Amino acid sequence: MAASATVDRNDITRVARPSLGRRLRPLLKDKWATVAVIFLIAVVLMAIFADMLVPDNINSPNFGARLLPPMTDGHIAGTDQLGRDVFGRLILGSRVSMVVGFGTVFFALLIGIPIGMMAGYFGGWFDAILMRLVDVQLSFPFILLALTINAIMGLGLKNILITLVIVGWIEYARIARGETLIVREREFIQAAHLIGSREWVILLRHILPNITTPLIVIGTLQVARFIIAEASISFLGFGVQPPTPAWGSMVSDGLKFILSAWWLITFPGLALALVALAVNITGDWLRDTLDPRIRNR
Amino acid sequence: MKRYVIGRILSGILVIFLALTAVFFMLRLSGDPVLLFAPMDTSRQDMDAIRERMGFNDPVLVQYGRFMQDAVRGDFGDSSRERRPAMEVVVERLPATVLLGATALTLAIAIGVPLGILSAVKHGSIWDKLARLLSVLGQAIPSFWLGVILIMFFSVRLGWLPTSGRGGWEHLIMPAVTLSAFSMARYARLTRSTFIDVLGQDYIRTARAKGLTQSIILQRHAFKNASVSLITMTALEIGNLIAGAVVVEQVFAWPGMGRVMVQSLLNRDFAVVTAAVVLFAAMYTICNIVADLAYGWVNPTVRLN
Repeated sequence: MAASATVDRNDITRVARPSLGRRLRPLLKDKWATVAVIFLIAVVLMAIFADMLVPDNINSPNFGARLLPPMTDGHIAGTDQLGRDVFGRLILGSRVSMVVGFGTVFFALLIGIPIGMMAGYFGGWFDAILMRLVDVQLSFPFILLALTINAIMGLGLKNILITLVIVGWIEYARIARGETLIVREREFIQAAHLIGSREWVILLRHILPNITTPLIVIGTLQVARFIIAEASISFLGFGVQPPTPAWGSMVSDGLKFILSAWWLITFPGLALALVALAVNITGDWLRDTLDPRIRNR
Repeated sequence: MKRYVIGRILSGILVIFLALTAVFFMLRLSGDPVLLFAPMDTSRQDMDAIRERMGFNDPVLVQYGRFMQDAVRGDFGDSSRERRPAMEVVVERLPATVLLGATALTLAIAIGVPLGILSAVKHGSIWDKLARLLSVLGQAIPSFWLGVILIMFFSVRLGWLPTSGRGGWEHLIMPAVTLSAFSMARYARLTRSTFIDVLGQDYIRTARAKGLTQSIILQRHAFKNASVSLITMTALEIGNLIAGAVVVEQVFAWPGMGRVMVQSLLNRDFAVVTAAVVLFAAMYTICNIVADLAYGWVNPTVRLN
């Protein structure tokens, strides 16, 4: 690991939390962030209500309408080799990306925060084990580890989620540990000790609220990383299996028709890129508003 | 310094040892290991024979000890498909991955760094906006899709470049561009923010007040100090490129380590997978050590301990 310089943050005092309206004001000022957040909300809603938006027979073949180009017979994004509507499948496919993106971050935070906090707070053998785990994780390319675990665990949406959580939680544990190490030394923690607070009360009431901001910001930025990781893994033939549409596997299915049907490859990838872009812009904005000190992390 | 390097190498070896342990137990605990190592169409008798031959009937700890003993000697068993040592299958693909990775890194630096400098110097201009847009896009576009789109455009539509495989330099262009896109974006972004920081420093103002030209200020004063973070990033970026190669090599059928790893996973040839994982981990660990050393070397204010 790079020898990271730790900044003494004891002199940074936190100001009172601004109201929701005041927090939203900078969002509306940044027009790219506004667009990104609205787009993301739309995609999430689309994923939730996908069943109502697409017809029930979306995954059943219709050989009369094979490989229609976009904008023919009401197929906005054309049809695939089995005559299925590509746009409808894109909508349905957003589910996989959203579940994987937000789900992985949620569960990884759920596991990583308590473990990282305890390691940072208590230290000792527990901390030593965690740090060795961090070392192992850092010595592997992320996608490689995910691929190997996924290949061994088996395919499907549930397994890819579990795989990404297994690979992903360590990062949050590492950040939670680092933040806890800093907060632990602050005066109000010593004060809490002096008035006889129990350890778990200190952890939950005093440390947790002070370490969540960087975790939320990094978690948001990681949503894009997990979405792309899942798409890459599904593209390679692991992960989500047919007939469930996932954006990554839709691109690899379209490869066989690269000579004739450009739309099969173009649209799912475009959807992925747009969502990743929106998540990154949102994450950058969150970082700038919530926690400017982690800008360069 | 010497002690630090030795300590760092020892901890690297420990990490690879732990990684091997993790791979071993993942493979064993995921069910009947014969199913992982034997080809799909193996009969029941053959499976029993394989089980006996590979020692899967022994206690797990005995198997672990044997696995580790063999691993130390670089022996990860035979590839079930190619019937020769797994490490050999992986190592012969190493040059292709190194060639691809090195080309991609060169591209990323050669384009990303000047783009970042331009962006910082012309802060707020149309160039800055364009460069920032490129770096935001580069970080959002999935590499496998970029690869496929390039194939569709330059190979299928225009017929300029070969779609896949390894041959002359024209085979290298699209995989290298695809692999470098993400790193290029990161270089542009980091260079921009570093240069904006550096150009705001007092000594730059002094240099300007002395009447030095912009190009001398950039070359002699700003670049030297900005290079600290760039050098550190490069070692880490090599690791990212190795990881990216796993996907990109598959898209372009580039015969490197990443492709052999993915193919072996698809074929359930886990001896080769294990060998590839170890070699990847070793390369990655070396990159991390070099990153640490480089950081201490260019920035003496950082104490290595």
